[in-house]
Amino acid sequence: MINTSLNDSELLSLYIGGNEEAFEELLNRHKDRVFTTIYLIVKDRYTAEDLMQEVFIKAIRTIKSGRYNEEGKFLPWILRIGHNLSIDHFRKEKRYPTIVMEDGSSVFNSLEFSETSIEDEHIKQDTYNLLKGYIKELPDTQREVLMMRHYMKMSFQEIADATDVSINTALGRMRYALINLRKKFEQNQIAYDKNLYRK
Amino acid sequence: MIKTFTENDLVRFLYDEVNEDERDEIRESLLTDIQLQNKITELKRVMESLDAFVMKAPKEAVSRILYASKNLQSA
Repeated sequence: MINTSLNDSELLSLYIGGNEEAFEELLNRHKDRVFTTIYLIVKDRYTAEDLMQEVFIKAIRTIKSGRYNEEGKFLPWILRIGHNLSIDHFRKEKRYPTIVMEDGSSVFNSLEFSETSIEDEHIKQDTYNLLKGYIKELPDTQREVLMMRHYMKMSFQEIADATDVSINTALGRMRYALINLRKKFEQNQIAYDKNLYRK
Repeated sequence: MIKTFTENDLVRFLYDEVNEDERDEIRESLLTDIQLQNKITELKRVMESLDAFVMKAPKEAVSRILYASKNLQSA
């Protein structure tokens, strides 16, 4: 049995040494966040599932081939792979031809969350869905920073660099995103109790 | 002397992007500044809600990833 108190770097070292249980622990630790992040970009559950699989397999290949260079932490690294593969997905699909990351524009500016599906109809009263709706209603620039900071774990400086704004602008956008969400919660009398949210 | 912080300072504090001195200053102020306490609490609650917005990764995909890991050879 693997010691679950080990940190990501320790687990990676074990995995590099051939311990598959260490990888299983890493996967269990981060799979939901990776899946959520990809879903928030591609807005389709099945595409997100395929991409999540692709992300982890790409990571496995990198690690097993000895090319993993841990300059940063494991989660930001794997989320970055997820982000890049999600953008590649849009390029292949040509569903969002205006997305060109190289020139500094952001994929998030062109994205919308999924339209109401049958599943959404069934659970539309769910607080979880309300939160998804609130995030969707945020101005593009605020939603972009919120996703990059909160789900992709990029620092505010990295976000500022990626979106070509000052760090104070990135911070301000995050602050307004949080304030706007708080206002929406208050307007709709949503309790903040974490237990209300579906896991 | 009462130290004042910008709203952006508080966001950096909540996301753990302040240096040690700034962290200590904000923590010290939090002991006595009720307005600051309220601001931090409100923002933190929203962040906790966002933390709770995490979708479960499909089990089938997880199984396929584990299978791939076991069957991919190291260099």
